[in-house]
Amino acid sequence: MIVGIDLGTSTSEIAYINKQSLPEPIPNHLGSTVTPSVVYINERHEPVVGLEAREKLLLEPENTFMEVKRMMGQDITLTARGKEYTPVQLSSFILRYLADCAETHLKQKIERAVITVPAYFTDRQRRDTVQAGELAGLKVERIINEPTAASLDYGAAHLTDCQNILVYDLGGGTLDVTVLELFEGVADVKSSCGNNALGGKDFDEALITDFINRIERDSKINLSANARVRSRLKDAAESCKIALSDQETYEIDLPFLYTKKNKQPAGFFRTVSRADFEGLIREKIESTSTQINTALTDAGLSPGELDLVLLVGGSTKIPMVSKYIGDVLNYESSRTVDPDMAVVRGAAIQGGIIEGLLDENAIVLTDVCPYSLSTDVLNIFSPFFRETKCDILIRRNTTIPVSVSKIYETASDYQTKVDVSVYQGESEEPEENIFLNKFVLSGLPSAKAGKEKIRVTFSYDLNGILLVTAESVSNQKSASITINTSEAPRAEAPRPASVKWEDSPLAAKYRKVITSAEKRLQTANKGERATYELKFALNELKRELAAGSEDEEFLDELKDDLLEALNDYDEQ
Amino acid sequence: MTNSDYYQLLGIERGADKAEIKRAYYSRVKLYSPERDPERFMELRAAYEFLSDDGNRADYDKYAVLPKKEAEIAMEASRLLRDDRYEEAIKLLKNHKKNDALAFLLTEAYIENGNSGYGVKLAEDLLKRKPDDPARHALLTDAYRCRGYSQKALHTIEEALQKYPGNPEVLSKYLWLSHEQKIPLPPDIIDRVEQAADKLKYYYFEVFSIIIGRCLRRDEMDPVPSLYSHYADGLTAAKTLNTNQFSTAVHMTAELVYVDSCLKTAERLAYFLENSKYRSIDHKPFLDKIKIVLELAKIEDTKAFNEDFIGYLYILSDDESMERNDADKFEFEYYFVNIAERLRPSLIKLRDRYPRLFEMNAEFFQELINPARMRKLRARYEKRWKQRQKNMPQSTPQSIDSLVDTLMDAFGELPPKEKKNFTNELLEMRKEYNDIYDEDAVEDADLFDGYEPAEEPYVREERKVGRNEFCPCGSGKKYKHCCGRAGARAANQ
Repeated sequence: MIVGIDLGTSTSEIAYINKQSLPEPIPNHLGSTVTPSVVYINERHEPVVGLEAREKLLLEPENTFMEVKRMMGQDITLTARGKEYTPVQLSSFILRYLADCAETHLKQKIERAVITVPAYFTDRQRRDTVQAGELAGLKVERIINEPTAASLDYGAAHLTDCQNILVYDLGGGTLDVTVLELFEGVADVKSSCGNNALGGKDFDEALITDFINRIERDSKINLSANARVRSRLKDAAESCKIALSDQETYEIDLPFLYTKKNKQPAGFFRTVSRADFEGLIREKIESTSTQINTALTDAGLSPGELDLVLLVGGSTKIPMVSKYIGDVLNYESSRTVDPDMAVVRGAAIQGGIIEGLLDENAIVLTDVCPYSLSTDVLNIFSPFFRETKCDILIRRNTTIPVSVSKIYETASDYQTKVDVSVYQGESEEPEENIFLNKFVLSGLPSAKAGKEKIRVTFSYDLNGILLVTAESVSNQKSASITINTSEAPRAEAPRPASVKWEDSPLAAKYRKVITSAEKRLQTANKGERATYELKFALNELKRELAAGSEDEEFLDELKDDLLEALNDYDEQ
Repeated sequence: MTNSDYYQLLGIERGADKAEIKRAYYSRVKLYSPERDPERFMELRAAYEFLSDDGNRADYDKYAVLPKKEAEIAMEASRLLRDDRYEEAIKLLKNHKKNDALAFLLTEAYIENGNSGYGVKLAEDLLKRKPDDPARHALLTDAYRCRGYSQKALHTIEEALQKYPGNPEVLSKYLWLSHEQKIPLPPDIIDRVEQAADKLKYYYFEVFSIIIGRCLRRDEMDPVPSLYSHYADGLTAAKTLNTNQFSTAVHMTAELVYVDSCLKTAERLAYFLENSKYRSIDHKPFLDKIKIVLELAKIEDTKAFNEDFIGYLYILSDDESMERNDADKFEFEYYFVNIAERLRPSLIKLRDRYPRLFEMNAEFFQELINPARMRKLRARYEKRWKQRQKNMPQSTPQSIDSLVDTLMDAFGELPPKEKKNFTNELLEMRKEYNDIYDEDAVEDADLFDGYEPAEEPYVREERKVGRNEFCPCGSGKKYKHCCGRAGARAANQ
């Protein structure tokens, strides 16, 4: 039995394929099919998941964790009762709890699962999700994208349709926009785009900030650091948000919330109208048109060509969201799928497909790789400084599985080995992309630059595993690396590029010269040589600052170089 | 590039259209899903993506007859050329001058790369090898042009055009050249272009922009809508554009969005332009204008707004006419101020649903909506109106004007039934008058509008000339571009 699990920011669900070959959500121990993604660590250091944990949030916020999904892919630990937990561990508690519920309900052991993630999750975040599954004792058969899962659920029920569909998935913590074509039982995903840091929790946060500001204005007390107050406000904000989907106003009534300066207890009372709430979140919702437009453009479609817009995720229940989508796409959005259950049902269907439970005519799915994957090559426009740029092999929104090769040449005379680095991201600058891994191909025949050719192949499979091979064309020597979503997180520290030069303690000293160089580069229209020399000198200084160097003498030297480059630039 | 036949893989005929390719692909994906047979799926996908790209497919069809090795070189070189990687293409092709197809590609690479001397030599040689190939004529023309031999180029292409009158390649090259050298177009050229449109639009869509530009300059609107639609097809299908091509599209759309029969195409293009990666800040005013006019067309369709009001909005949307037509704008405004009560619901709708349009003159509209401002507003406009009447150059004798005034005053005091009769009579008179002085018909209609009694809406008995219909004056232009143009009206008075 392969179950489907929707591991969400605020709630999680689990489903399986029942005897009628239909996806069916499984209720938890409390009889509800929706389990809050909240983990509470009790006195015996045991995890408690779901509603019981949710209730502890008000009493013991320090021992309760929520919105763990937002921390996936980060190297952080959270402490409760003196013990440290990683986001992966906390997620595994939720997965284990769901699997336990399923075992009790179905009376059989659950060992395999399909887990959904936002389409815009990075490689690292996917890898962490797989790890969490394995910690929970589940073999993760497939990681699938949430909007894709939702469209599977819709597509399985409409096997004969031909439609262009846009799935707008606004959940607790993430936004995904996916455009796909449904063609007689084939769901062909054309593009995916999203924002990993926008969701219902941000709407709660907007309300909380508003409340805290009001309290501060009235009583001159700043409560933003008070965990207990915050968790009570958060609770109220969430109820308020949900209630305002159906009613016009909501009364917040929180007595004895805090103590005033004169030691008198004080509460927070306020009637929030739907218009107030919409005013707070309008900007955030309107920002999603960026993702909608990108997804549509990448798919090569105009809004007029869409036949259907599917709204998925709890946050799409907010009336303003569906109205906004209707306005942007000029479309009367209708609810054709259950916004809470569509994703988990789709995951169960995917499980059924893998297991072969669904018959021959079942839906077929083709998905895309949402990010570009590239390797770095010498930038031929700056041969003097050995700068590299990212050359994309698999462009974003390429249908997977896919295998792409490109032939590169050696760059120096008598070079016998090459470094092959793999990046994820859209930029040409390696520093701006996410570095995934690298390896060395050695044993090339010694020859003049450009004589030896190396074929680099990127193979990306359905599980999001990227196999990179480099092969010498002349002597067939090859080396490869597998960048595997199910691999343990790499030991290598994240690139120092994530540190900005501005963070350096000495930044102030060099800010002036750096900004003037940057300004010059923004309007660069001089000869290439001067531009690249300037760019090089600028990058050297920035890199050194970002690396935290405090050797002022050396930094001054770099600064002089940069000034010289600036002079050269201005003269040319 | 694999050797296997993509058409065979998808199980379709060589001439299959896009829909057939798509259907074949999906039906095969159901058999070889990525789940069940990833290797086969990847082959299918590659075939599908390859054949869905028109450029690739044309190459594939063209070079499939060559031996395998040459076919591979040709396709690779052709791709390099499409990516503007000329030097690499030259390197790849240099040693294959014997093969006609490869030599052809090499010539193209030379021309694009600026090695025009080599290009001319090779092109002449190629034409000698096979003198009845229109493509080689076009190639030689290009080579000459690039080398600076413009007379020779023109001569070559004119000769080719006579030999192959409907060949798209020759046609497009000829149009380019004639545009460049400012040679008048032969009269039947548009028909020929129209006939070859299907082939022209995917490879030479710019040709349409040239002809449209020339038609517009000569005020020949008839062929434009269909050419424009072909142009849009080609433009949106093009994989890459340069900034120039993009700007041309923006400017042309900003102009043609005013033409009713081009509206659909303009709408389609507007979306494409808006979301294109090529758009820059310079295009913003044009794109904004296009959006406004499209919205205007939309509200014109709903029929929920007063026709004159829409006319006024059109004037506002057109920056050029704005400066010239302050007088006309004022006439409209004066009229609106007088019928503000009736206009109010429309204005509120405009404010709520089409804020972009409302923004165009928000200050004035805001005042119109507000009943409290009405008296002041009316007084202000009345004063300005009187002022204007005084300053207006009097082309007709004063006495007639005052006579009209007196008549109108008398008209206002008549009982409703009498008014109706009187209006009918006036309309009859106007009809007769129209027959004699066609051009002024509209002026009269507007004169009446201004004096409409507020208590009983005046019902137009006769059709008013629509903004987008041909002008009754017989100039062949649209009404709004001719006598309907606000400036023209002011001049007539």
